[in-house]
Amino acid sequence: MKYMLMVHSALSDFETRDTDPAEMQETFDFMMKLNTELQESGELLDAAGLADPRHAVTVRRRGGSAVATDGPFAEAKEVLGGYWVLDVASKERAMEIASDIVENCGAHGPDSIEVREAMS
Amino acid sequence: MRYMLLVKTPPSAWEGWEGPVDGFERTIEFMGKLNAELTETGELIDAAGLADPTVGTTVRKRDDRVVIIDGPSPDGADVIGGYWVLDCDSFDRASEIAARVVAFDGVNSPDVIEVRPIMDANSGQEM
Repeated sequence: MKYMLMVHSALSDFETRDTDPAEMQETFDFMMKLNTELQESGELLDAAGLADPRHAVTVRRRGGSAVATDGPFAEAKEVLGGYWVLDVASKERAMEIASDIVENCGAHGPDSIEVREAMS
Repeated sequence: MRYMLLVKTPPSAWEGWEGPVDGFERTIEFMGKLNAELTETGELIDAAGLADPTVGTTVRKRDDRVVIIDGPSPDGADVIGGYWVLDCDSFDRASEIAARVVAFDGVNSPDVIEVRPIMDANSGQEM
């Protein structure tokens, strides 16, 4: 089963991001270890962090044509900060991985992860 | 460079969903054709539609404990309905693909797509 783990970040996090190098390294090490593990178990399809949402462009349909505006979707308070796409045996396994991340990823890791099934 | 196209969908879009409605096959055909094209150009890394957010779960850290919350975000804000992960030459190319999708006015086809650059795995800026 294909699942997506979505990291929700507050838009304000990107503005006030404190980047203590030691803490960043702790989170980075955890992510690397986790992704290596998921690669070895064959569960990792893709994972990445997304760039600052202020560099986003939103494209919407208006009057039958596509109109682009700068920035993330206007009404959003939370934006997608990163994601994992997993091929796991069950939803429970996806939840287990998500729980491991929010619990153990250190000061700069995600506080909140949404787990959603992906249809292929 | 890698880009993510995020389909923004109101949570109400899934309400009363009982399977494909009339005209939806035109949307499926459009998506199938687009994805085949992006596979041929080597730009498509992954794409999928996501299931109903009400059967999704959010895992959240609160006071150093893990809390599990069922369902979509409580404020009724738009959710992610699907995505493309693309490897494109430029932001303009990624936006062009997003524009093609939203310009297609089909049943259950996206109206709004957010285009975001993905961080380089080697930049050391992960998460």
